[in-house]
Amino acid sequence: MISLAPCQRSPVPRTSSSAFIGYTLTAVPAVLFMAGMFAYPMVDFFVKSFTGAQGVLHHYATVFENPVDRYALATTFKVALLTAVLTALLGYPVALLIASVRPTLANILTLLVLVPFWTSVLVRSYAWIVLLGRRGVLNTSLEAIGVIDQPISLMFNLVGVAVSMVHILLPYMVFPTLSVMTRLNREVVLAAESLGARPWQTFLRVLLPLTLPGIVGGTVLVFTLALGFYITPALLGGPKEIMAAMLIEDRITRHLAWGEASAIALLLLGVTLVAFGICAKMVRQDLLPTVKVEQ
Amino acid sequence: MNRREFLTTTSAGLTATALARALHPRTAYGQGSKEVVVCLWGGSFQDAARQAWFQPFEKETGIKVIDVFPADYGKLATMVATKNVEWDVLDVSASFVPVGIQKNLFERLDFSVIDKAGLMSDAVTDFTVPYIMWSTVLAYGTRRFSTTHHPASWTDFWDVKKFPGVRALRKISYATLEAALMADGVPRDKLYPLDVDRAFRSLERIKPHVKVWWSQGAQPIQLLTDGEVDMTSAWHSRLYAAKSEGARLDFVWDQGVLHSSSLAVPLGARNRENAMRLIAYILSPRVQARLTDYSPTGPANAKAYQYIKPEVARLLPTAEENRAKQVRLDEFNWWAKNFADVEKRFQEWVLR
Repeated sequence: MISLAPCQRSPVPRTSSSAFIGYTLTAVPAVLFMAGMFAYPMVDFFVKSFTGAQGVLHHYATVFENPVDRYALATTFKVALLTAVLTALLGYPVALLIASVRPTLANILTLLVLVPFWTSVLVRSYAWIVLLGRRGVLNTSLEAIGVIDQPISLMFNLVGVAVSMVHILLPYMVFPTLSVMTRLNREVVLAAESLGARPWQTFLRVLLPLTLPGIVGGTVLVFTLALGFYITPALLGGPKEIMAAMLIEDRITRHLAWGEASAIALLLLGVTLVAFGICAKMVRQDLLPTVKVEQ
Repeated sequence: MNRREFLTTTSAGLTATALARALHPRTAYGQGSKEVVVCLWGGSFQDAARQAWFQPFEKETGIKVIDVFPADYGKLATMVATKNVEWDVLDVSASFVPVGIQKNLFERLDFSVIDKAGLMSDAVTDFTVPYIMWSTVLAYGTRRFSTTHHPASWTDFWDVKKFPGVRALRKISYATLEAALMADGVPRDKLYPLDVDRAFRSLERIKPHVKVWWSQGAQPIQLLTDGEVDMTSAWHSRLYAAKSEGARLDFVWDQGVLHSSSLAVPLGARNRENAMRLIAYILSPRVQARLTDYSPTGPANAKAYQYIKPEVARLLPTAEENRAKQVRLDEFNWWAKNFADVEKRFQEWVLR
């Protein structure tokens, strides 16, 4: 959950300098691990994407000149954004519910959110095929009760991809939002109510701004994960749902064009960083003043 | 599944190799070593190959065969570049053969050990030999169609009035363009050189009826079994397996497209000598024939047929009666020259 870090202000108390050095030393193995396993390959990608016999920007030019690549990159961002927005809309009420019920019930609900996590993504994708197919559960049920007389297309298009990706990524939205909600001082809600705020006013002007870091954190997390989706869109999407990960796989395994694969990977990374930047700004500028101003 | 999980799954194959190596330490590199590592694509075919080829080879030669999967050309390139080659024998598809040769990823094969006799001469290169044959055929769901009324050619597949229903095709240019041309009336023996423009015009006509453009071999089987589509192109071995398990589907050999798969030795392989011996063994007629006891895959060596039981032989894509109905994909001539350009055009066309 590293993606949450820029979006949250964690109230870690200041420590003495000797303890600080101690903490720093314990972090060394992790830092070395990340440097070797993550930073080094990233640098390697970076270098590969800009090197080649045909000039520094050749790989990027190749990617941008190829209509399939352009289309796939646009689709990737579109699908990731759609998934992030839908998970936010669906996940927020779930988190709110879990945060407001008794602990036992909250535990059960949390477990229910977690259960799909324990099933392979591949299995879950195939399960959606059973549900959404032409002769799937949904279509046959709708036909049986007379809502439709022809099977409707729920799969091999954007609908199928969105449904399954939202399903897979929903926990990543629920938990960050939930963690912010549970740390929330409930008395602000009571205070708002006692001052005569209507429920929707309490929600819009108190609850929503205070839980915004969770929503933003979850949205960025879901968006970032969705950018890298591969098998789900391949199985449940139509020919038009091509994701960047498929392009990278194709370049690396079939064409051995690693420069181009690196260029696509770095373009994705760039967009992710921009998303992080926006997220960090949104939280700082939006949340803090709102809370302070409403004295 | 996201990309990271996919990589985790695929890297399990590599881990298996490493583990196998740890458990069977070599006495020496290269010559005189007592093992050979083979990398194929996994699945039931690999199980068949293990029983028909690798275990008997081990018994006869005392050379331990470690078989891993899946073959991955990206990994191959990394292994060769870092001079840390884990595989000694690798399955390469015909479309990758020219790429691998051009990027210098393969060892030259030792034809003093490997006997070319009986192999299709055009499929043999200095670096690769064909070792199995398989087919892309027209398959249909038996919920929708009966044994007396079903699409029996690509012309039928294209005829949406006579055979209404939802179609699927593979999202790759080779074999699909051939099907499009045969549907348009080009005789099997007049296909090459392919009239690419005509093929795309023909594909344009069927496109509105193609609901799924599949990419994984399991997909068309699933689509037919679930009744998601009524007819599709598919690989014959997968169809056999599904049919024998009672799936409601069937297929025809007519106008099927025959492909070959090849074996190569990665450049810098640790057990080069053993790799040559294993390839020679796999290609020998009797050993080729033995595979058919375990898998309906066609042998690449024509001499194998004298050792195959007739009741088994007629199930194979390369059996004379089945072969006569099909066309052999011109993988090593026309496609080797044109795949890159045609495939690019095809992928763009699918999006439109």
